[in-house]
Amino acid sequence: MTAPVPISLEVNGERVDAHVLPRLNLADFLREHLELTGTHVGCEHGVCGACTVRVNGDIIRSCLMLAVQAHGASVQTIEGLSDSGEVADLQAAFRDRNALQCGYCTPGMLMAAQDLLMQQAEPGREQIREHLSGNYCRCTGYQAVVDAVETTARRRAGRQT
Amino acid sequence: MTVTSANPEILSELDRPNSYIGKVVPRPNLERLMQGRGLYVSDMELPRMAHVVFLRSPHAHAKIVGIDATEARRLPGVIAVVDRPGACSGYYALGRRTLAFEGPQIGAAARDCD
Repeated sequence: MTAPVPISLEVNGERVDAHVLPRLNLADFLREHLELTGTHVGCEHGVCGACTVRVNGDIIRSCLMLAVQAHGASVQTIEGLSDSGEVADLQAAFRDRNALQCGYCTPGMLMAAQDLLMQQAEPGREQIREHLSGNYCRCTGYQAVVDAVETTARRRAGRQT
Repeated sequence: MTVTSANPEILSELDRPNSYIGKVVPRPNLERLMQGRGLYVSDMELPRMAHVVFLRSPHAHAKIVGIDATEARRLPGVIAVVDRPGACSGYYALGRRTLAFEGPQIGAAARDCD
């Protein structure tokens, strides 16, 4: 199990073919092989949420998933969500509320927040906190992040009606 | 891949003296940080950059009798194994014969990044 394994997957809408070692995790694959360094590696054991990406529609910890397990999957990272404009309003709300300082946790926060907003049109502050409870921030704090997500939810709900 | 902000040559209202007082000042680096396009130390890749692995003591209190690194040195891609007292002056624990707590660095191996 030490020889490279061929994998083929879709990353941010583009097809990717690669040869990876079986022990390589998805976070390192995205960062080192594809140079998508927006996916951050913090704790490396599924606690901090900095490596959150979307695989087949669900958010996962890319440090806990092997690259070979993503064979045939559709992966979306913060770069993909930014370029498609999917989280543009969420990012604007983060900027307006200054919901980040160093920004290391922010891509993971945005991935998790967008996941919640897709499931629920107008979540309450407690639900927002619960959904982001697996994303650690070590500098800004959570108040502004919750504010930004809440504002985005309200704006999106307003636009729909 | 970096996002450049508006032309820095153009002065805004905030460039006037004392204009920051009582104002919300936009941070120019927020856009790229939120898009995952910031550049952190762990994102950097330099020419001939190597990865280092620290060997930590599995014992809470012990004397280092010897470190056998022959197998580590044999692995492909290994550039150096640092295991002698004083060989790496930055790490006090590397030159210390008695360990007083679990987990200090007692050796280091550098490997190329493939």
